[in-house]
This record gives sequence, C-alpha cells and structure tokens, in this order.
Amino acid sequence: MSLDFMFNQSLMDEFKKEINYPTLLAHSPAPAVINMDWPATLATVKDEQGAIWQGQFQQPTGADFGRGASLSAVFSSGKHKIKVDIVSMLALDWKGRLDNIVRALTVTNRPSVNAKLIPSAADLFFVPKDTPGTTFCTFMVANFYIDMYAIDESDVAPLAQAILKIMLAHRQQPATSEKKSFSLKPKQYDGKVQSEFTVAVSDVLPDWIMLQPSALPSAIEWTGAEHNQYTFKATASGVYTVNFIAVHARNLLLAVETVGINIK
Amino acid sequence: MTEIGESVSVSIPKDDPDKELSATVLEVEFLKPFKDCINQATISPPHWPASVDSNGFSAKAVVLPFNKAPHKAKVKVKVTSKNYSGNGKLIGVLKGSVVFEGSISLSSGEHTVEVTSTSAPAYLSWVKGPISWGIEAVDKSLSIGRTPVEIFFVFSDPAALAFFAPKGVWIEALRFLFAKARLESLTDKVAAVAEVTRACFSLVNHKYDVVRGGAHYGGATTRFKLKAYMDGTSGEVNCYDQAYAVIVFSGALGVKTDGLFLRPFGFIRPVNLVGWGRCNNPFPKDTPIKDFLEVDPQSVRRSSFGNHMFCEFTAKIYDACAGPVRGNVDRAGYVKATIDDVMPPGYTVADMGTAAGMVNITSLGAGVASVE
Repeated sequence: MSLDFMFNQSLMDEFKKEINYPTLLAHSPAPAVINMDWPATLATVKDEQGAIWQGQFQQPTGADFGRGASLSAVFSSGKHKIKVDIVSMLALDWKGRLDNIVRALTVTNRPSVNAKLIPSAADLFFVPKDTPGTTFCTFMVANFYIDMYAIDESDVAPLAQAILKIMLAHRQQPATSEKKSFSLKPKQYDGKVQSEFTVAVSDVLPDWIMLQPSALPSAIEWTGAEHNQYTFKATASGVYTVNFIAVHARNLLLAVETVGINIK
Repeated sequence: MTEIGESVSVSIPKDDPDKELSATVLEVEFLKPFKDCINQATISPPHWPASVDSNGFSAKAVVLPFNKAPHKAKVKVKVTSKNYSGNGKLIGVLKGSVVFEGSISLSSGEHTVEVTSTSAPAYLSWVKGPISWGIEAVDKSLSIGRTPVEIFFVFSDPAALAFFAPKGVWIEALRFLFAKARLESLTDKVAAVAEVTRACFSLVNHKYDVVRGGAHYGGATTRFKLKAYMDGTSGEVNCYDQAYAVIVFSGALGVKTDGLFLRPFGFIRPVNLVGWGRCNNPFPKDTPIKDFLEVDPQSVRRSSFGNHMFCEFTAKIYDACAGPVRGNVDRAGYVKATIDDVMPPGYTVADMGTAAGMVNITSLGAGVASVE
C-alpha cells in the first residue's frame, strides 16, 4: 500500500474543479473537534418532521485509506432505512480534512462525481448533483464527516439535518493534550532488507480499540498478528514510519503512535 | 457454543478375563495446516478439544490442501491395558470420506500417535462432524471416542496472499463461500473462480449503487470490508467491491486472481447488473430507477461507466458486477461483448474502453492489501 494513492486521479482533479477546491481551501473553519458518545447520543434521533429514527450501530473499524476510524449504523423509522457512516478523521488541519472528503467522494465508477456543495452550517455539505431527490448526502463538521444514503430511496435530508444539529451542539475547541491511550515497543526498528520484526502493543486503555495496521509503506509487509503482537517484513531499504491507530469505542476520538523504521 | 467433549472409553467384552484394554482420545492436531483464523484471531493447535456449535462449526477449524494427500495428524491417546503388549492400529473415520490410520502402543500410558490419511477428498470440500476413533488389536476392536472437527480442503495456502498473511484465511469467509457457492467436488481453479464470481453476483441484498456508483465495502481502497460484505446489511455495491470480493474469496480457496481497471469504460450493452437485472444505463437520471435501467441506446438520458473494475485469471475475464462474466472471454472478447458501440449523440470511439487500456489495479496502488 502506498500513501500516494493515485487511483482515479483524473476524476478527483475534475471534481476539485467543480467544487472550486482552491477557494474552499482558502476558507478554513476554526479548528474544532466533536466530543460525544456517538452510539448513545444517536441511539434515538427525532428529525425535523417529527419522525423517530432508531440507530443500530456496529463496532468501529478503520476508515478507508487508513485515514481514521469509521462507525457504521443503520437508522430505521417505520419502513424507511438509512445507512449512516460516521468517519472520525486523523487529519485535524483543514486541507487534510478537505482532501479526505474529496477522496471519499471520488471512489466511484461514474464518469463524474454525483455530488454538489450546498450552503450549510456544516463545514461542507454535499448532496446529489445528477439524480433527483436527496437519497444521499455527505457532510463534515470539525473532525468528523458523515456519509448517509437511503437504503429504500427515501429522503435522507431530515435525518441529516437532525444529526448535523446534534454535531454542532457538541462541537468544541480541540484539547491541548490527551492522555496516552496505548504504548508501542519498540518505537524504532533498525534492520536489514528481508528482516522481520515485531511491534508489541500494550497498556491499551479501557474502551479503546486498536485498528489493524493500514496505509503501510509499500516496502513494509504486515505478516502476522497475535495477541497485540504485530509482525512486519521489510522488503526494501529506506526510512519508513508505521502508524498504529486506536479509536475510542464511544466518542470515536483517535490516538496514534508511530514506529520509526530504518532498513539498510 | 457448546463444549462437546465426546471422548468416551468403551471396552469390548473380553474373552480372556486377565486381559483389559480401554483408551480415550485426549487431543487431535492436524499437521501442516494452512494458517487460518476465526474472529480475526489466528487458530492454534490442538484442533480438538474445541468448542463446536449446533451447526458443527468448530472454534478450531482446519484448512488443508486437497491435492497434497496424505494428510497427517497427531493424536494423543490415553491407554489403559492389562496383559497387552506391542502395537495396534489407531483408526479415525470422518463421515466415511476421511480416514486416518496409525500405529499405537497398547501399553498403558499416554501415547502421541502420528496418523496418516488413507482416504481424503481430492477436491474442494467442507467436511464437518465427528471423527470416530477406534483401536484394532489382535484379538479385539474397540471404539475409543469421537472428536468433532471442521476441515476445509482448498487448492493451496490462502495465507500466501498478502491480505490473508497476517492472521490466516478467515474461516468465516470459507463457511460463507461454501454455503453460497457450488464448490463441492471442484478440482479446477478456473471452474472455482467462475463459481466464486457467480456466487458474488447472486448474493441477496447486494445491489449496484445506481445513484453514486460508489464503493461500500472498501473496493479500490486496498482494504476489503469482508465482514460487512458477508453481512450485507447495507446492500449496495459497486464494481470495485465486486472485484475485491472475487479476489478475496478466490484467495480464500488459495487462488490468486488479478484485478483490472479500465478507464474510460463506456456504455454497456444490455447485461445483467448485480442486484438489478438487465441494464444498459447504470446511472438512471429518472425515477423510478428500475424503469430506466434499460433505455434507447442513443438516448441522451443514457449513462455510461466512467471506469470499471473486474478480474482476470489465466487470461480470462471474470466480472461479478455486470454479466456476470465467468471466464468465457479474454480481454478483447470482454470488450467486444460488454462495451456498446451504439452511443448517444456526441460520443465517439474515444469514449470506449479497449483491451489495451486495461491496467492491473496493483500498479495503481489499488490492489487488495488487507481484509477486515
């Protein structure tokens, strides 16, 4: 895997033009994070039209491209069902967050991205561009973006607005320091090409879930995992880093520890 | 999960009152199994004792190559005997299709016996149930217990593929695949990949995302959301998800397939689109969607695939998204059969994909690197 993901690059470039990416980039919102118990807060949501939505949540997993963590849920109200993916982003800077959402929207085999920006209290809010109705939307507030689509072609807008309102109410200044959520040993590995090495994860705090390694440098292969011991193989010389990410099961905040790797 | 400790000790009535022989199976360990995992935790031997649920699913399931017989196992047996010496034959039979034999000391004590298969499936197979163990001595035969096991026989080591390397092949994936696909008794990799493709195309609740064309199970992101794909809650897929599914499920059988990417792809001839049926317009601009999946080929409301991902194995194409295409055409044949040269006004041959334009997804940094 490579962090320099070039798949569908031309579609991404076209989409950036459509949304006037440089202008968006120049207007960064104030730094913020959302801190709330997602499964508990969104277990029952009442939308603007008075419909009650019940959320059924799965366990958090890694987000696409190793850019954070994702919590999926299906919201039901009567016969209607809406799939909701809550993505907690590692990137806290505006460009990183903007690039995350652009990348997510351009993983498509349409000739052009079916999404357009609309004005919103969210940092970004995308709705369908080429298809009728609001059968999906993607919006970002602070360090989270939400992707939702109707399983039964119903309108997702009322539920989206209700969730957006809750997110805005929980938006706050980023914390200046965080308690360490887990430890790695070693923090640095120096070895030769074709060597194998093991990184041990320990002291994982309660309610934190280790995500499996992803977005690895192409010269570092993940070859084993047992009892929080992760084994890797180095296939080419160079200096690399591997990020280990943990996510809090409730507030979906992220913790990152890095192993430095020097292969000669 | 129910702990089934079916090891029993049964003595056969004896002719000689001064002779006694009884035995109990304590452990079973298959030798050189492929690395496998359950709930993303690598399985370690012994393979029995192990908890087994009401479906016969073992917490210590085993994956073996069907084409590398004989298979071997170590069986730890506790023997209690009086006036017996020398060796007898230890025999284990699983559903009549798998038979193990070895030589066991008839003296009292715990003996670890290496047994060898004298009969085993020589084809893809999922065998689960109790191995019935017995000892044959010169003057008697006795049953010494039953040990429930679950064994998959596949082509070769799935963990040789990067996405199953860290923890081993997912037993859940093999159970899913053998339940959904008609794999039993296949010996040919080509036929197996074709059947994997058909099964992925036919999954209930997996429908093409005709609104966004987006991936919902990590397709094209290098990480396939295998657990969610098998759950199928969300129900929507795109071609990236389907190509990843064929790669990963074929990989579970020990078959390496390649992913191909083609851009531009173009307008599709009327084919079956996964979850929808006949379609030449994968992104209808009108509703109800199901009524506009097939339109006049020159309609200005007709849509095309900007790009498309599918699979290749031994120079033949497999597409679990549109078709399905199951290895009956090569690259050129696939283009000819799938991409329509009748197009709405304004489109030209430059908008049509070609065999020469196909690129391996690994070269784009979009190969399957991991599963979760």
